[in-house]
Amino acid sequence: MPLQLSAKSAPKLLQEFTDSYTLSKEGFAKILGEILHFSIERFIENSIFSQEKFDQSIINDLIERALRKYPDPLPNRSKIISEAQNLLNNFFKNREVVEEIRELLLKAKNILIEPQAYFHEKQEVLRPDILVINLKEVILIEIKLRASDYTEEQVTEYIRLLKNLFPNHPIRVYLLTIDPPALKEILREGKEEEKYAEKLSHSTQLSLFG
Amino acid sequence: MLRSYLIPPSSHFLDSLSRLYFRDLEEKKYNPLEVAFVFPTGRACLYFTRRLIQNKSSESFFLPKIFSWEEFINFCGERLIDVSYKLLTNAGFELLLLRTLKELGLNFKDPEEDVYWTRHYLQVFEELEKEGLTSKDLKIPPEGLPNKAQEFLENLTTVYEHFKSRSASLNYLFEAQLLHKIAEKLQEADPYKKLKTSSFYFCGFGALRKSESNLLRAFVELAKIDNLDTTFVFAWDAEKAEPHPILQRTFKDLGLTAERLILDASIESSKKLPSVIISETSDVHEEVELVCSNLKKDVDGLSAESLPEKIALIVPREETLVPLIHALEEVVEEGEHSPLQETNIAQSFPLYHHPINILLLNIIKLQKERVDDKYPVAKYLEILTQPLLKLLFPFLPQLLEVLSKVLQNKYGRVSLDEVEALIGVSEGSFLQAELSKIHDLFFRNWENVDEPAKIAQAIEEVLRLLLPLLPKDDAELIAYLTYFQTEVLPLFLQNELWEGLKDRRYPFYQLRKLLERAKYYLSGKPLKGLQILGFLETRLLNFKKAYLLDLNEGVLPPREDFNPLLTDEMRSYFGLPVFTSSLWDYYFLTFLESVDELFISYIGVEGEDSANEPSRFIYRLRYEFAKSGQSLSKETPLRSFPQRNFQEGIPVTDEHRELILSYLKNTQLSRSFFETYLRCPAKFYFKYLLKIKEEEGDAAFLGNITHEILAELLIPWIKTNDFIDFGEVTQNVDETVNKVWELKGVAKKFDPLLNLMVKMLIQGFLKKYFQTLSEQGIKRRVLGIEDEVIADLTINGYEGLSTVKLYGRCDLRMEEEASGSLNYLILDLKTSASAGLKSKSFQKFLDIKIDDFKPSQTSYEYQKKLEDWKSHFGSNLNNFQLTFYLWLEIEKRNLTNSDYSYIKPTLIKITSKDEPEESLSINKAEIFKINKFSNLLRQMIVHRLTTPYFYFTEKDNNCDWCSYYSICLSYRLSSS
Repeated sequence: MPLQLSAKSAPKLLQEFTDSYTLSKEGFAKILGEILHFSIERFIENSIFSQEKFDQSIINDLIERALRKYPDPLPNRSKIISEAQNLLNNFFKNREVVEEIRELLLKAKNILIEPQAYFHEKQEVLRPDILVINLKEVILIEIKLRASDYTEEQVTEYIRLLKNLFPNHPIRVYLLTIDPPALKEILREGKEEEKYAEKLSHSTQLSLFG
Repeated sequence: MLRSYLIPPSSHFLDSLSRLYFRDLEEKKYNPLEVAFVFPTGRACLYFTRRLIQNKSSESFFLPKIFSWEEFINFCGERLIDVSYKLLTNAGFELLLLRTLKELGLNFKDPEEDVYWTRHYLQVFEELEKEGLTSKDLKIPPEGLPNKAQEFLENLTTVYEHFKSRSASLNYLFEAQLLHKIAEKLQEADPYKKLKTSSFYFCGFGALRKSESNLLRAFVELAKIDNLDTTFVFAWDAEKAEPHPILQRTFKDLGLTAERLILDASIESSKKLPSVIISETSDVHEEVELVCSNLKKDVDGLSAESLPEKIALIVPREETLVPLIHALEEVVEEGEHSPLQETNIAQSFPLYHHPINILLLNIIKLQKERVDDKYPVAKYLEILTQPLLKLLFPFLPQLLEVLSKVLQNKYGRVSLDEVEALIGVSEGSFLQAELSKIHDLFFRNWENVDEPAKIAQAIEEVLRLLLPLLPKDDAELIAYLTYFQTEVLPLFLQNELWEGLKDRRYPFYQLRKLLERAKYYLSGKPLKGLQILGFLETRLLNFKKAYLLDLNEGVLPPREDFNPLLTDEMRSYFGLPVFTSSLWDYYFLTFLESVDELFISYIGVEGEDSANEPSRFIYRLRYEFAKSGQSLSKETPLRSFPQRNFQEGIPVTDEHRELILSYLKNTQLSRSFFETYLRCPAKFYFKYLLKIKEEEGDAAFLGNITHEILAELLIPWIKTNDFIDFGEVTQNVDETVNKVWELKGVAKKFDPLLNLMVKMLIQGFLKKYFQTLSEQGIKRRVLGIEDEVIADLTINGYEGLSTVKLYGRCDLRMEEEASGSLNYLILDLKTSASAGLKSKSFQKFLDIKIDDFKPSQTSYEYQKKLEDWKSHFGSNLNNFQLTFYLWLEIEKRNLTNSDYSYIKPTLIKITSKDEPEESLSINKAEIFKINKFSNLLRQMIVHRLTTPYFYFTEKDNNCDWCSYYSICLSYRLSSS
């Protein structure tokens, strides 16, 4: 067939194929990632962090909601659910991280979950995970399953976008990892002693604002 | 706040909408992140986002939420519904319904019928859900439906309740049920707040089902009490005409009154209809070549980024996609940089013809034919000749050659162990081991599938071995695998859906159904490059120029799949809306206003049997143009396109020629040997060179039976010199039919109803036929019944070939006294409804000269020669068989010197209502004119000995009932 994804002479198909085949490693990871993002974002959006104790049923409900858009038959559905439950349970058991998040949200005037924005410098539509808008600053929280999933390029673009959208607000950036649970500040603008990212172990994260 | 606007499609709908949005942001101080736009298609979402960006491209900004309808429903479901639920694919619901039917004892005996009917049953339930209707038992179901389908309708309420509770117990909801739940929730006081959206824009909706309009109605009510701002925007130019009936119905359903909205006065010109060129083409290849050659001029100087709003190819018939892509490839020269090299498709990509799909379908077909451990030899060999197998097993050609020799003509059915033992003895252990691997992969793995998951394993095993051998960047392959991995395999891995369906045939038939429907919807993301769209995807979009292909009836508007349970009468009984073409009319009219230039092509009428008919929209277009006083151009494509350079046939090798020569030297040639080649050289290759036996279908079986009855009835008259007493023959019909019926076990072959009907048809025809002959006082004597005639044909020494033997066996030979003259009749009985003679063609044939045919000509000339020859015998080779018999009779029976005034090759047509006989006629003085047939047969022999290809037939309807259809398809696909 001449309809190829990469050949030179044949017509190229500019097509994204959706891999939701949960028997493949990639498909499984994609859906798991979606559930985790959805659950944590919804916790933040609905201020469930202020609750004293996290009920297992809340976690189960969020996982179930996150999966609603995937009709059955979805192979490995129960395996995905159980993996998501484990990771989220561990995450919410970590009171230290949960408390840090709660504190981060205390002064929030508005919380934006996955807002879509056009970034004119790169002529792209971007969708950062969470923006916490305070009176005097904007906080970007980027969620990743593991610290190694984090890429400097992605966050750099988000920061440039936010500088365009909120030119008068200093920006703070946090990386929220799920496994293991951690909240790390990557950037804090607007203070004299601008705080740089705490160096993470992954080699691609070293030179963000250096 | 509730608003409702009509935006003229000609004012660039999405552009106007984006202006409305920016105006609202400014005037009403909306927060963009609390605004949501909902569109009927994902495509409109992409274009709207692009439009917002283009209108404000110099700065960064937050975008509103932009949903397709499907995304919007998921969003509302997830936010509003507090009880857990899951959605299920239609294939999954079909399994649950199958189980329900079994539990209620409403299933057929044959799982194949169950699988067929369940799909139709499910559609009934879906339709009822969409309209929010409760089911009603049908006390008197329509006649003509099978008993079980009638019982289903008689017990509709029970089945529905049982099925719904089964689905609910597993937490499954129909989409319509979900819509209903969302609408209910929105009627409560506060839940709408969970949507975190203060303003909704519903754009371009129309012709809503009850479940949809109820949901949108909830947003109308929320706006009326000022909980939300809701804006409806429809595509229509109210200045030009009253809103279309489709829109009027929508306004009524939602309780709206819409006003015309124009935001930019400069756009509001009295826009006329687009400039339109209509072009009739003869086939899909010509059509796509024509479109692509025009397209090449249009894209000159354009970039891939700018193409999406400039040019669109609209392809309502998904089968046209593949030839279109071939043609696009042709139009771009090697090394040239053209925006046409980057395409983006938003349409279902048909995958039925993918070689892996064909291979899997053949495996299923073969399993259906297996009796215990034995397979029919012809089918067994057919699997082994699939081209994909050659990739896996390099020794396959050698193995096939041996197998053909060993099995052909010796076995009707054969077990795998038997074949392996035979090969072991004749060829040794290496080939035996290779064969055993093939058997495991394509036969044994499929034999013992006692649970659905094993089918998935058998498929995965085939894919595991095949995929490394196929190109990784082949988009069609990726689409096929994605379809497989998301739609097919998961179904067989979810055991709970198969509970209660123990019969191993269920998974097989379900798999076959999924393979037969195989297609993958390409979403057209990201928005860049040449846009190829389905027609519905064009809704709300504007293009500077659009090419609309295949504007044929049945394509646009599309022909709906017929469901015998949802006829117009049944729909009206259930209270379901009866769809007319008005919805498509609305789409077409708005589309017309959304383009500046339109190039329309359709496939013209080929012949009296042609199924191609120009769409009703072409007539509508003419009407619209006539009404507005504009002119409509017509373009006739040039007929001199360069030859397509992909293979048009199976390449002929020296080995093939050897085989043909050997056949010519050693076998008597029948008319079928010639006719098959004329009809389709590829079929000749499969039948005479690969020696794959043709399937004997019910029609052929019926033909044999009828011949037998006719012979039985007339045998007594062959021994006498008397004229036949047709009255007596008429009286013998019933008894003879019964006798042959019993002797041949016909009743076992057909189901009871068919058996009765076929028997009645044959009895009825024969009685009427002989009775008519009797009443007309026809005087005939029988000269011979099915006797064989053999004649020599001299060949001019090609490759040492001096003569070949030709043979024929016509059903009846008779002589007839009529008006004082004696005529000679060569009669052939036909059961096919399409049989018929072409007397004009025959008269023409008598008078023409057969041109010489010289080998070593171009491929085009070889093909053309076949076409020329065919044209002498009628469009369906109607006269060939009887001309062949006529030639044989003349050669062998010295008819030139006989007392017969006329020779009459005659057809007896069993399915004819009026004239049971149809004759050609040649008087004695003209008999010499048949000599040219020898010349033609000679040329046909040389043709096949020198042709570069066994060409695929150009006439697609030749393939309809062809036994070699699937194998041929694999060859076509692999060679292109």
